[in-house]
Amino acid sequence: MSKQFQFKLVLLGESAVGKSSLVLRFVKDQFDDYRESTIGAAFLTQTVTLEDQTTVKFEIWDTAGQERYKSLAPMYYRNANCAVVVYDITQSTSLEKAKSWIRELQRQADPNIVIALCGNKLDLSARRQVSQEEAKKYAEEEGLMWGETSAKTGEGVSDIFTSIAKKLPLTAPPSARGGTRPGVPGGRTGVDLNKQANAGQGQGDQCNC
Amino acid sequence: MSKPVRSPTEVAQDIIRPTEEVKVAIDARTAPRADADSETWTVSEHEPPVPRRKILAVVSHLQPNGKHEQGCVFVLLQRPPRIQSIPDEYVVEHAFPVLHNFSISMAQPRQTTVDLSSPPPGSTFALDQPKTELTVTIKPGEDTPFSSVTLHTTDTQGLRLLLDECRRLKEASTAETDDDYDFEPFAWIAPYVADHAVPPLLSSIPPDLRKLQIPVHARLSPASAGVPGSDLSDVEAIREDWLRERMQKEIFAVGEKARLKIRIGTFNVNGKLPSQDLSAWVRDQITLPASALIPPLKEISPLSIGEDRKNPIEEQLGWCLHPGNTIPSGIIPPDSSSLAASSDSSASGATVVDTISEDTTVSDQPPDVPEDPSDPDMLVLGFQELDLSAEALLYSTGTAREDNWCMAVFAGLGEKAVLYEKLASKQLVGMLLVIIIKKRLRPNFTDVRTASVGAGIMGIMGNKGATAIRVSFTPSPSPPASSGSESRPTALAFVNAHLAAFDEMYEKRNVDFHDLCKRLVFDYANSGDDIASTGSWYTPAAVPLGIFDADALFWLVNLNYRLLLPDADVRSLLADYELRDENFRVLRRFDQLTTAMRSKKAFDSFIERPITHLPSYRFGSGMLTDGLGYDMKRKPAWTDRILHMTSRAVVVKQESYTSHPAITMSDHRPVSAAFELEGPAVSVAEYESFMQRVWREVSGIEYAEERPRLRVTPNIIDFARIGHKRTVTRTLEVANIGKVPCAFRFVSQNFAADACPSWLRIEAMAGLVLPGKKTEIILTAYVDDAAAAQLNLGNARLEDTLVLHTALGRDYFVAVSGDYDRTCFATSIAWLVRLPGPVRALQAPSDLLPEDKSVNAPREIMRLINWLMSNGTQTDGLFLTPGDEELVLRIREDLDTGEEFSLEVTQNDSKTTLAFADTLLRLLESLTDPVIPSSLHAKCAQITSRDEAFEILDQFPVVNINVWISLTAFLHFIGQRESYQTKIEHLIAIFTSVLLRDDLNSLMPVSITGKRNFLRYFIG
Repeated sequence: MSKQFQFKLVLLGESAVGKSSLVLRFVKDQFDDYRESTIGAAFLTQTVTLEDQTTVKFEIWDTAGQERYKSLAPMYYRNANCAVVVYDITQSTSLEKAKSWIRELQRQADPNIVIALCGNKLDLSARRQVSQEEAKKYAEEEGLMWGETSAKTGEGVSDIFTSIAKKLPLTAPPSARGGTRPGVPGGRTGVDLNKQANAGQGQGDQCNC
Repeated sequence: MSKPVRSPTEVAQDIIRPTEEVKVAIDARTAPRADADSETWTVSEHEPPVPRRKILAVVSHLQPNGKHEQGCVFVLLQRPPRIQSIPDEYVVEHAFPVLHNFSISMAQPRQTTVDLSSPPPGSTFALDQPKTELTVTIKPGEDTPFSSVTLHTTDTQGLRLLLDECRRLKEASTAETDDDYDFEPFAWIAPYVADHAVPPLLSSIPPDLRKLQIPVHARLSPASAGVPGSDLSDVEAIREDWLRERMQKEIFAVGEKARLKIRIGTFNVNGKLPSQDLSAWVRDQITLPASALIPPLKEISPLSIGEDRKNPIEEQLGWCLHPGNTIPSGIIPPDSSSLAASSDSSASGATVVDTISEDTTVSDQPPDVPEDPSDPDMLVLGFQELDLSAEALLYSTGTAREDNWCMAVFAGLGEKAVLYEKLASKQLVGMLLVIIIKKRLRPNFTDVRTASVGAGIMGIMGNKGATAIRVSFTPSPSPPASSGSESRPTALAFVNAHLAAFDEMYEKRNVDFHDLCKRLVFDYANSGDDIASTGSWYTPAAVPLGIFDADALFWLVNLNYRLLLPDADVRSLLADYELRDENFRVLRRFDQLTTAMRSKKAFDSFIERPITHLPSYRFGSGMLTDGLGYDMKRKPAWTDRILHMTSRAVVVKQESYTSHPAITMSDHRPVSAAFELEGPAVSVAEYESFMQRVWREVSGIEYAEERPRLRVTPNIIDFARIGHKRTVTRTLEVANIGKVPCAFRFVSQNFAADACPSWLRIEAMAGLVLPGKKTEIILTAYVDDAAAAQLNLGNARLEDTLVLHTALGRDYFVAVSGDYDRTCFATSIAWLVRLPGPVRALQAPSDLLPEDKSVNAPREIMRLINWLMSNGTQTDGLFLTPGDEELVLRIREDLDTGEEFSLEVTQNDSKTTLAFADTLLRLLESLTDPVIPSSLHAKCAQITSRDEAFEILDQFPVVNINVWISLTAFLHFIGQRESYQTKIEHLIAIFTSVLLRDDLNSLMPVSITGKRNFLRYFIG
């Protein structure tokens, strides 16, 4: 029986850099040219299987990028194990915004948080404004993971999540399976911040076959 | 009368959800020999039973990833028909997942003759198909808990298609080996099987009334943005509330209503035997024709009553107490002349308006006693201290006293007595609860249960405690005698309690209340009725029930709650008839029961109509009494009370609440209240069918793989200008654009905050939307005094984000904003004097003047007093007559903006001046602290001379002195006018409650008369 781990991941970044598209590609392997901007926070899950058959389940909070909702972001990155901070390689201002998110995370999030800086819209590299060198240098200085992706073509998407999975401390005991069974409500009245997404994902873990 | 027969596919499509697809569906029936009784139903008595229709269907489900298809074979079974208006209904009898070990096979046994004389209903196959009957056997596989099923069908072609489809799905299921498979296999079947579970509202036990008083959003799990809480239990609560709401709107609100007039009385008889006419207490005198007011038995000598068997009342009325007896044929109702008179009155249009029943099967009812619309259908009487003897505490003393009082009650009913009989009673030592009903309604009352609990000496003895009765009231069906449409019963519970006496036992009474609520249990075995014989198929719950497991609960009690004010205060406030309304308001505020309810210490969520009668305790005979007859040794109190609580299914209208001072035999006065209860007269079949249908739409939300999807518009809402006590509404549209029902709720941004800012109200805070449907949420910006007190101190620009959380789904943000118009209302005097200019002009709290630079007195209050001084002194009724709402708002606006008053005063225009006076009064009322600081109230109340009164002013803050002096000078000035001579006390009473506002949290309140005296030194 392979080990299974569960981690909370949050996506941050300026509006319209492609956070939701990135998640959609990662979770459903789909792309949608005209996505509406996220006004809220979406919760999704996806599992990554590593070479040693270890599975890492991400509980992903995709948050709104608009400035107006910035004050709510801490509620979603609180207790996150990892964060993907996204910028648009065709918009240099989006990197500045990403840097400010990173500063905020370093200041306020869990000190052990794994942060990945992700340059999206690689398919539009002809209009590139942020060079790979610049971003990479910044990432190295800050001790972040870095990668470029295209949610549209899928390039680099699974790589970045897999690298995060590898970097996470896989020494913690595997998360308990079958924590909350669907149809058996009220199993949890308080809030267990380590497993807060259990109830939100329907019948993920349970098996009655 | 035949209904159109739907094809198997139509039936199956009706049952499945949008996430599944019907591949094939065929008619089938059970092998003839199997379990014939439950599988057939009778169309009419003259035809042989026919098998219930079954449908065999293959249903497929595509997983949300769009790749995996799963199949399931359903066996659908027709439900027994219940009422004509409902289309035929089906339930999922079996569901077999098409997995690797699943198998389905057909066989052609021997050629059988199909009996054409009794085709199954909807048999489209009987004639135009080959008459070959095939057997189909479904084997779910050895490792499943299900056993195999064999059915018959004649639809050869359909069966072949069905087998093909099963083969295809089975192959699909065995092909699935992808390791990224992240779905629970066949979880989508669960909701269909779950349909067998009882939907929450189908239980015959009504939900706990206390729970229903709390809005659903307040019952959900703690949650905030990013921390969803317990979505599964929240879904359950929201869904149940939604079901109840739909039931209310679509069944209860539109259907027939059953009305029941209930008269409730409570009487602490102080161990006395009945010696006076009780008619005032037991019947509603006001609406009776004058001739009927004369009770047949005016007075009963106490000497002639008691154990004496030859009591005249008993001779006449004894049969009333024993429902089994019939009336001796020779007895004629006592007062035939009054009878004739009321008979006339009822002929003139007063027909029996009862929608419940016109049942005439009760044969022992004398036909010529008229019923009046005002006659109660039900009389519920609680007695306390029925027997004060020591023996009564130790062992049962029989029913002699109960019989005495019941006789007196029937005597009090006068000529109407023959219409009534006793339904039930429950006694514990001195506490007796009796239910008397109209005889003709006897068949409508079932499942009578009683309970009693002692809470007296050592916490168990019966000198204190409660007795209770619970009954089910089933309205007669309309039209009468339509069989199979039995009405859904309404459960009524009544509690007669007697709690600990004395002022200082306040907390003990609160504790006892909760104790009684817990310990009063109606056992099933206690049920007086032979339930089986009622023939009801809405079976009463065979479990113990609490008092809150009812549709309506009444407490008719001697709670012994007292008044918190000093004795002298209570007596003088009661004695002042001129100020009755104002004084009663004050007294009610200091009633211990009101205090307990306000602080949620006891009787939380109960309803009591504001008392307008004099306290019912304690009266003396031969003791030292005050002018109103109250015993000088005991502070008068409203010890005897009637409260109620109901579910949304019933509406209770209270028609009266009064005491009966003419009945003087005890040291308490009896109290009565008349209610009209209106409940739905819906048939059980209709109710159940509706519930099942609606339940199917929302059951199994928690099993859905698809995430709920909403469209929330708009996501930015600007309220523009928001002002104190001004309403601005906006609408939020929530549309379900997904495939599954979506339960939503508003959550707070973080644990410390509320889900909604103080200036906003959201209706509703939680809800449910079906796929393809939308709902409107009303957002109302409204700033009350408490919110204004907060907002006045902060930034004028209001911005917030609402977080709408969807259960098992995402959060949606709605940005709300507005510009707050600051107001001088709901602030403090100390803050007002620090304003550099008009309050509206204040940009930020930092612009306030430093304390040492503040002005002498709040401009706003001074402007109003000055205006009144120059324009209003000639107007009568200042402060006593409410001002015109619109004018008050205009005056307030001018105060806030600092503009000149825009209202012009003309000669003899009292409207404007009254509005100014009212504005001043409201401004003072809205201040966060009273003009005289609360800490000084006790001192002020003790002052006995004018000089002392002026001396204590030095202890006020300077600005408060300025306000006080100007205000009292003005009141003194207008009080000097001749037309105010009689009103000055009224002014004093009103301004005392404003300027020396009562501290409602104190259990030792400051004397009201003392505070009034203090004010009188200045304006009297």
